[in-house]
Amino acid sequence: MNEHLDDKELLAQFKDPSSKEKGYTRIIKKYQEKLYWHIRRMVVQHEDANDVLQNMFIKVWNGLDNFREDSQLYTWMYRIATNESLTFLEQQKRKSTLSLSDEESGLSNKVKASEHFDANKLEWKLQVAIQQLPEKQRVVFNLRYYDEMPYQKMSEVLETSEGALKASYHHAVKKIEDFILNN
Amino acid sequence: MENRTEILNELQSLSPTLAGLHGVNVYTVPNGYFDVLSEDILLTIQLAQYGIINSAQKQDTTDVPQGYFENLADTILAKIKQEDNVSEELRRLSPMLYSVQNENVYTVPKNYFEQLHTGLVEKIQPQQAIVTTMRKRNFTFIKYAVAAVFTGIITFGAFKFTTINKIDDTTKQGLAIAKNNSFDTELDKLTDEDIVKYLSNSSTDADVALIVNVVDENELPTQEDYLTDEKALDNFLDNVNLEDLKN
Repeated sequence: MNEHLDDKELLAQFKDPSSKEKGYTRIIKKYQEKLYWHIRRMVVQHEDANDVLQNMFIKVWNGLDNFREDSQLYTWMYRIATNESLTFLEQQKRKSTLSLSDEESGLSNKVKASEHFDANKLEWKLQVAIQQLPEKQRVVFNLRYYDEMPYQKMSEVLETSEGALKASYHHAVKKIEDFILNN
Repeated sequence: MENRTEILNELQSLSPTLAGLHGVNVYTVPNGYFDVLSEDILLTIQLAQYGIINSAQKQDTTDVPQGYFENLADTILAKIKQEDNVSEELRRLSPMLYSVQNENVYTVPKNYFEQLHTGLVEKIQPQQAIVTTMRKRNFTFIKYAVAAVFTGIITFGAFKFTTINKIDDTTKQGLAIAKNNSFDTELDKLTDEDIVKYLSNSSTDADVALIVNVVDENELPTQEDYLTDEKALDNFLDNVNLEDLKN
């Protein structure tokens, strides 16, 4: 029963010093997988995803006391996860001093280096295709395709208009389909 | 708010291929990863709170070592000092030169450096050119004075080779001046007015005197010029512009 507490109850638990850690643990358990996969699809490798996820949850710990409940906890954490992922990729890019296109092909290479990668399988082609997309378009595609996030919520996470997100998603789908059909 | 069906329908209309792949996950995570994740994160936070690890270090695992930015300025300065310490470098290269490095054998005038600034400021500031009003050169006076001397000499010569009986008082005075070798003294006694009055009546002589005074000897016709061209002197004189000479 406790595992199905809504966000308001979880926040109340967190803000009570006697149950702070308990409430925090429940928040992690509720969202960890969704957020992990969101990050993992962005950074590809598990180790990187783990680092970003942990950093993201530490930020949640530090910022949750000041969290304004006029926005949803779920949306707020997705925004942190997205920003952390993009920051991580930016750092990676600076480290490697590669251009954007090189960095993207670097992510494709990471996909190809995965343990079970099979270039003939459509699902792996899809992953390679996703990494060809520009960063923001990739985020939009992942949130919609994998997390089935409505444009309205996505708009809150990415602070972008629904129309722009819709256009971005449609472009992304077409690019990916073209890539899959031509490779 | 859209529901799941609407989202899938949109995908189906955009790309049936991608709609067919929906829900397939190719990535894996280590076994039990999500079971212990919250404990791991909480432990990290607790360690940071107790100061056992720096949460910033944990957060910036891809960034820089702990304390990097705190010490960055000092590190760079130390490096600069190490590289730029000229004395230290000289000491290593030549202890002998190092020992006399501060010996200065040269001196500067007293208060040189105190006044240097002032002097430089004066130099770099635009100065108004010093305007000196010059008297208009009185060529007339010079011309007359020089001509007077030559006239005196010519007059003196004329009297010397002409009959002595015809000499008047003025000539007698001239001869006396020549005899006593006091020509300059007597010339000094003449007033400007006397000289001007005299030369006004003999300007041709004055022009000749001026030419004689200012013409370069090297430019004069040579003996050969006179032998080959009887108009050598005339040509020379024609080329002399008195106005140029005055300037």
